[in-house]
Amino acid sequence: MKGYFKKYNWIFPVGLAGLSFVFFQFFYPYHLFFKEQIQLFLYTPDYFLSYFKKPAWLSAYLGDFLTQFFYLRGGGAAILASLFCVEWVLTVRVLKRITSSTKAGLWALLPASADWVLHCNTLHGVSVSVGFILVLCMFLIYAALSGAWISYAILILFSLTGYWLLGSSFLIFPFLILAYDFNNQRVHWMKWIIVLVVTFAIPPVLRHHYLLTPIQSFIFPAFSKQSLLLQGALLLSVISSFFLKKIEATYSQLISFGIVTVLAFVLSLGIINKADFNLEKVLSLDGETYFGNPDRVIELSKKYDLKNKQAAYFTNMALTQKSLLAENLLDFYQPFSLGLIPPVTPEENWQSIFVSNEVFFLIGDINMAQHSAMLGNTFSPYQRSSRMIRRLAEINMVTGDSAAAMKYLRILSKTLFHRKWAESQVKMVQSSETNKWLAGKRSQVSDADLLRKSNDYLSSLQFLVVQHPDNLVAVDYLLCYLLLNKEVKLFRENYDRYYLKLNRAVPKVYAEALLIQLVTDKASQQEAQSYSIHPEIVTRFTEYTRIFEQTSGDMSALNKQFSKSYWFYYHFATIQKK
Amino acid sequence: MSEIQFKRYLLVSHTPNLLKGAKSFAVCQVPFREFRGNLYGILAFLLLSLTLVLSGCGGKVNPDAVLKEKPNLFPDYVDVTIPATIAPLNFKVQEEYTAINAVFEGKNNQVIHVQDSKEICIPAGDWGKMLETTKGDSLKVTVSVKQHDRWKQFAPFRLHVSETPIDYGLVYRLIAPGYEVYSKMGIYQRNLSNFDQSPIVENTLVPGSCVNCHSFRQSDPKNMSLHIRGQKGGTILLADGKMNVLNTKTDKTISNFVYPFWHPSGNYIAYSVNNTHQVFHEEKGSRVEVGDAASDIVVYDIKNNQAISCNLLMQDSIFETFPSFSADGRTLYFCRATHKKMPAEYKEVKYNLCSIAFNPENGTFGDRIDTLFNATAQSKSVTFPRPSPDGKYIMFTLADYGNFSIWHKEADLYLLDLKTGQTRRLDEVNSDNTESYHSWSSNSRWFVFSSRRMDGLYTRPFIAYLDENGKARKPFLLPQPDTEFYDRLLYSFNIPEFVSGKVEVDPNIIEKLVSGEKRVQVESLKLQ
Repeated sequence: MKGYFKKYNWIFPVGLAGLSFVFFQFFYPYHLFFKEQIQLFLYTPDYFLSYFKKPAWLSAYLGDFLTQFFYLRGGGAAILASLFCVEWVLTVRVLKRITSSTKAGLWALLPASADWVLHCNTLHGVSVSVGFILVLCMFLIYAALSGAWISYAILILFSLTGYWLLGSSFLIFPFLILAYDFNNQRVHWMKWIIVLVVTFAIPPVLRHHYLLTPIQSFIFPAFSKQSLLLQGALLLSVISSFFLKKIEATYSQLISFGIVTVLAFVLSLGIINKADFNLEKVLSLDGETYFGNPDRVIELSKKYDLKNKQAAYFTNMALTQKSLLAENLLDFYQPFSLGLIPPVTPEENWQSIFVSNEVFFLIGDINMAQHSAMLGNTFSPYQRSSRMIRRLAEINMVTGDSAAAMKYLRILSKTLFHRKWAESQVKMVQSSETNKWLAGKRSQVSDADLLRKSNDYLSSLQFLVVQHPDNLVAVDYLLCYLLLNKEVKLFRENYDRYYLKLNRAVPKVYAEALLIQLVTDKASQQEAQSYSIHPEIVTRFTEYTRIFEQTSGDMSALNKQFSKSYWFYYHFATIQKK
Repeated sequence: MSEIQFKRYLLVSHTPNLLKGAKSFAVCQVPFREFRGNLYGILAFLLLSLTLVLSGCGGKVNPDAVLKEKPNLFPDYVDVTIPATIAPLNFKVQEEYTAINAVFEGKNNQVIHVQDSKEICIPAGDWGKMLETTKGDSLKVTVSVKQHDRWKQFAPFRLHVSETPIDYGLVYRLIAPGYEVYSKMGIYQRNLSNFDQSPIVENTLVPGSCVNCHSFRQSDPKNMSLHIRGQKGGTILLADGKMNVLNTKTDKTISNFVYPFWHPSGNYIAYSVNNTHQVFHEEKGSRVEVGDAASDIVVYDIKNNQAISCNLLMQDSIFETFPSFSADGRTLYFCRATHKKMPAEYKEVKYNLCSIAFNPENGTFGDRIDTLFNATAQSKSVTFPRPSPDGKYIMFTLADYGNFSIWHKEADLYLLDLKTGQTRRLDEVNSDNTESYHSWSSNSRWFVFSSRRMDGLYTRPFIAYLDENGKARKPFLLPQPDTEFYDRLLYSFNIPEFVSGKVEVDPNIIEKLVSGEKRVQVESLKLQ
């Protein structure tokens, strides 16, 4: 066993890269797709220059450059795995420079693992990882210089430009210098103080120029203080390897085993703690919606059986696209109508606002779709989102606002992965051709007007249906909206007014709701029969009513047999306020 | 005039004939044109740019075809009237080409010759000198484009250089179009003689806030009012260099102060107080309305820290909004409409342009309201009445209904001659899309207005000259360093206001003030 860890040092980076790749590719891929969607990387000089408006232009630009590849399946996982690998390699070199520890390969796993955990958050950018890699490079350059004057020159240069180039990632630099000198028994109080003061004075001084709050100035380009964990992990590696170096020879295997065990434990705990697998599931539904796979959304939704409004939102849209909403609405969790049309208000979290345009675009409420897409773009972390720009282009193509559509398409034509789509759409706009999709969307758009409050979805749905009675998506959304809000009387009125004219078979949920209202209205048998409700549903309704009356409305007696029925929802569904 | 010979990176093979006999200097195009005006960019790419600049040579064109038509430019600067201190009017021709050439001929045989593969970006120094010497006259601009290796020359057009000066700059809010979003916005100032833009305040400094309604005392940058909305909200008042944050909600007013207008004396600011609601259109051509469920007008007495008003300006059955003072400060103009149920009857809300006397000596109001422009009679609605500082005109916006004309496609600018009482639509500057907010220069000869004519979605600032007879000249789009600037900008220019000098306000001071707890409570309303 002696020297095992040293001999097989390559296992660490390869194992780390492999495991992280597997994790992000197979257990966490939709977070990475989402990270691409909330940014917009353009190949223009102006876009490059926009990075100079804030600190960390180099790490932010390179980070965003890499993030665009998250659009590709496997691209995000491969890039992150590679970054962790590079972090490990550089950390090993840094540790060897500072502490000469024989366990550097093990200690170096700590920062890379911390970065892995941090990347479980949608807001943790690649720029932080790039900044970390670059600051390690800066340190290694400094440490490699033997001449005193040149090392001082480089130190001054790095200290003055580090924040400008790398932002908060540079804050670790003076500590590395200090540790390096300390280990080499070189005491340079003046140098240490100057480097420390300069490094930590620059953020608060430059924050006025960059218009950052005090906290933002110390964490930029990250959005959260948690991102400092990466630097904390490096410091911990340096300190630990420094203090344990003396006993490394004696307790080599024990230390190695201890580090690996602790690391595995910390990594597992970190991932369990920080990885939001529920959000990953929601993002998987969102991602498949974005990529136009309603079948996959329904499949995933069945598998996950999530009980939240976001999951219901994507599931309902997928069901609608497959004309199954009225049939299968209650096969899935429904938080009243919040899962149909979520509120779009500044009080909602940005991710909900970001995806809110999808439903409006689907049902044909094109103005609200535009409003939501603009909000989505503005509320996204970088205020420029490839997904929102694409949607805004689509919306303006649908409304025939060519100038606005072209504006967005020209922006997308400067990207790597949306260019092809944009160019094909430009041809369509310029040739005034319409494909089936565009013609279909345009047929939903209304020239008539209604003024309504942003959260008055009922008026909006009724308006859409009145304008285009053949818009089955809007009809289903209207009827299901009423049903989920238990407005059964209104449901029947609207059903009679709009759905009957479509000459379609009465779906299960509608049939169940109609039976309730027919009984309430004391409808004649002839009237009831005119709805052509399937006899099996009528029989089940009779059975439901019998048990309900027999048990005085005991939910548990009905749950097994009728939990997916509208009758059950009507009687027992309640909103629990948190 | 010294002749300056630049070399350029674009190679042109034709021999010159355009400038026969003229003192000419060929002007190069610096590559990475977007870097202009950006110090960091210039520094970062200086070496690369110099290398490229010095690697080629320029030339003049010998046209293969000469057209009678003038070029279709973007931005449309053909035959516009400009001030002598305006930043270079960079442009491109709206056609496909492999090279573009422009020759600017001014007084005293001055010539600027620019050639590029993409767009005409005029060197600022030579441009400034040429405008200065051509004041009161016009520049002749000859544009050619190279298509299929042949040069096509358009009929020359003129840039009329007015002798009348324009103010130092503009202050505007940049905001995602049309909707009240708190995520990212800011109020910025722009120097009109170059492309420098700097923030006065950005809402990210006070997270969760909204910044709006900046206003200056007759373009004076030392007297400013703006609102910060949100948890840490307040009205920032900069009066003669002293800044305070006001809490403007009083027990007798329905809201905080909203739409401002400074009294020429600097002693008062008129504000509307509005109970606003946002409603959305379903029709694809319209988008959003912000209507009032109630609104009144108050005048803030700065010295006494007191809001004053009168019953005539605070009627429950009437909406009163958009106040503004006359040039002599003795009349308060405002918009007035009969109260309607919102949002059901919103389209029936029609504002007239009205006035009431105001005595600045004691802060009292007259006892009657006059109607200056009866928009209701035309089934129209007035917004943004802005008297010219010389007291001759009131410019306002006329839309079909309501007070949110910034999203009304039919909204146009109108000019009321206060001497004759005649009102006319400013056809010289209006388009078939929205023209809405507008502001006068301090000498009343220039005005800036926001228009959605470019893409129907984003408001852009246009500047126009008004001659001594009240005739407006063709407006020009606020020039930018390159012609793609507006295309890539995802923000609207909101409330463009002229300022006569730089606003010397540190955004961080505003941050500090707003983040703090100190607020000056405006004293309760005094009704007369």
